[in-house]
Amino acid sequence: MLSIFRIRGGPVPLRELPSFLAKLVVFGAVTGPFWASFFMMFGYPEGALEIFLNPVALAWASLTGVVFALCFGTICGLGNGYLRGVLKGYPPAIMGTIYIVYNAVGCSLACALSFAIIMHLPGTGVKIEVPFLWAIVATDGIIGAILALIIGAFIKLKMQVECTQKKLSEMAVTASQAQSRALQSQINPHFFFNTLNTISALVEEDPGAAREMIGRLSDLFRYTLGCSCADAVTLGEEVQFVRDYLSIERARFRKRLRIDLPEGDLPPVRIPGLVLQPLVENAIKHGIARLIDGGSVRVRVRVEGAGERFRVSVRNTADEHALPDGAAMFRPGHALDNVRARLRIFTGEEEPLRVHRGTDWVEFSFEAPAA
Amino acid sequence: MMRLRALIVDDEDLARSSLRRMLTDAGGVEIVGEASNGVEALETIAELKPDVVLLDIEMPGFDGFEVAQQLENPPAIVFVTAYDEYAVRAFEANAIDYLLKPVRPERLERALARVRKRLGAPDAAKVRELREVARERGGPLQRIAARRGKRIVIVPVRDIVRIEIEDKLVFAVTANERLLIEKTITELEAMLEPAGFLRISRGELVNLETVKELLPWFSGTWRVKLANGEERDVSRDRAKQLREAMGA
Repeated sequence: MLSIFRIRGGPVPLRELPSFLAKLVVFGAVTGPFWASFFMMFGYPEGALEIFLNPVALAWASLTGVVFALCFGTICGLGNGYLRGVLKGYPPAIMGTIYIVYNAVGCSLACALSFAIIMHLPGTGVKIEVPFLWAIVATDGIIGAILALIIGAFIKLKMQVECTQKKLSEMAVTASQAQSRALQSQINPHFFFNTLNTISALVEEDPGAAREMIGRLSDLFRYTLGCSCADAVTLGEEVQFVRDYLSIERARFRKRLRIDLPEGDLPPVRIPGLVLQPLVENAIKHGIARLIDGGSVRVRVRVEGAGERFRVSVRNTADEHALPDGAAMFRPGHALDNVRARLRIFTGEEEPLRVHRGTDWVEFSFEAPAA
Repeated sequence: MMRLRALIVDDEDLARSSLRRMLTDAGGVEIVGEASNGVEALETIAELKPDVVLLDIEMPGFDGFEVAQQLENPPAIVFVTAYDEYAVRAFEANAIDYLLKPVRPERLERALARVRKRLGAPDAAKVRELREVARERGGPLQRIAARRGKRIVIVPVRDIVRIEIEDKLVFAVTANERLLIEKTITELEAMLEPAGFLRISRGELVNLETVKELLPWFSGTWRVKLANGEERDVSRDRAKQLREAMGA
């Protein structure tokens, strides 16, 4: 009911005024006979039913209803809408007082106006004693004030709920950003010390290669330090990072590691930083490193459909006996669990990281909107 | 000073060459061989019988712990790891030698000195200690080395239904084959008990996972029915243990 008359919606725009008035007319015409019947029960109970049987009385009651609806609707209904806009930003106490006073006066006025119109309609012959009329008008004023109180309380409650919801969602965003930062994967200590060991061996064997490797390790470090995981990086940056990372692993594993990375231009999409590299590192640690003859790591990027989504996959050779089940793969604190948590924040999907496996391979993939 | 015969085990070429250089520089060490994975390590250790093995932990085939658990007369072992907090804690607790990568020459020399000092220690104590550490670190043995013809193959322990003796040779029976294992049944019992195997008679171990039923047999003996349909005899003195293990 309230929403039909836009009580929650603030001021009624000018172009909606005709439809607002039309609604008032219909509302008054339909409910008028019921109001009349209701009030008749107090002084003339026989008439309460008769009003619906006598067409003239019914038409009369509808007309009365229309007059009342128009008076109350324009004075109180429209006024409240405009008041809300005007009073926005005032302290609740002042706002409430003005509402109550306005509605008390408005209802009294609307009531008096309605009676004045009805009494002066030609050929009606309605006569109401003046003291009784004043009593009705005063009562209406009080009812108006009470209504204003109730509606005011309702609006206040609604505003509080909205405010709490807004705060909660703001807190959730902050929490997810903090979580994202906390989840940011660091350089894996295992990888770090193994690389230092490789460099240590190269120092005497091939000083040039050692220098080269120190440079690459520094680049990796810089990337992980500079990459804030709260914001996404381009897919190209992440693939380049993977390329640098793999060049180091290649020095360790030599021929045991075969690499297949996407060549050429990549779609200009963004992904969370440090999501692809942990997947590749996982492929090496749990796939290639466990195979005596080694294997391959393949990264693929595919644009899905008409370009609105893209899919990134990392597939590696794996020992069929060593494929762990899902729960073991996503141990809390494990890199994959971390990647999954960050993709969850990024994509909003519950299971963003998909796992496919064959007899001697395993593949991780995720999809995201290209925009 | 006695010359130590050393074996280097690491899957990375550069890691091995770095250790080789440092061992040579340390002096008093003869490098008898190298292995680049767990299977090779087991073969080479059995063949060359070195005094000391520098054993990398993260390796394909068997990892360093799996290798250590399968050695019968273990040489002195110095574990090498890049980063393994748990392992290091277990080593410290059991006074096992270990080196952290990148390896520093003076740490390597200190480890070699300790190896020399403990060279005469009895095998049984060394075996116990190694198995203890391996178990603390990696849980029960997951895979075991077996022979298919001349090749060493890796058999997942959970695939083994039972272990049996025939003509003094020990075999692991899986769902579809029977593989020779170069160990005594008593050694296997010690190695596999933590993985859920139980000795049911003088010549047989069963994987409790595959036991379907326990049936009373003649004069206090029992029989077990296995998942593959086989029925095996349980000796009288083992029956009680088996019933307890099965919670019966």
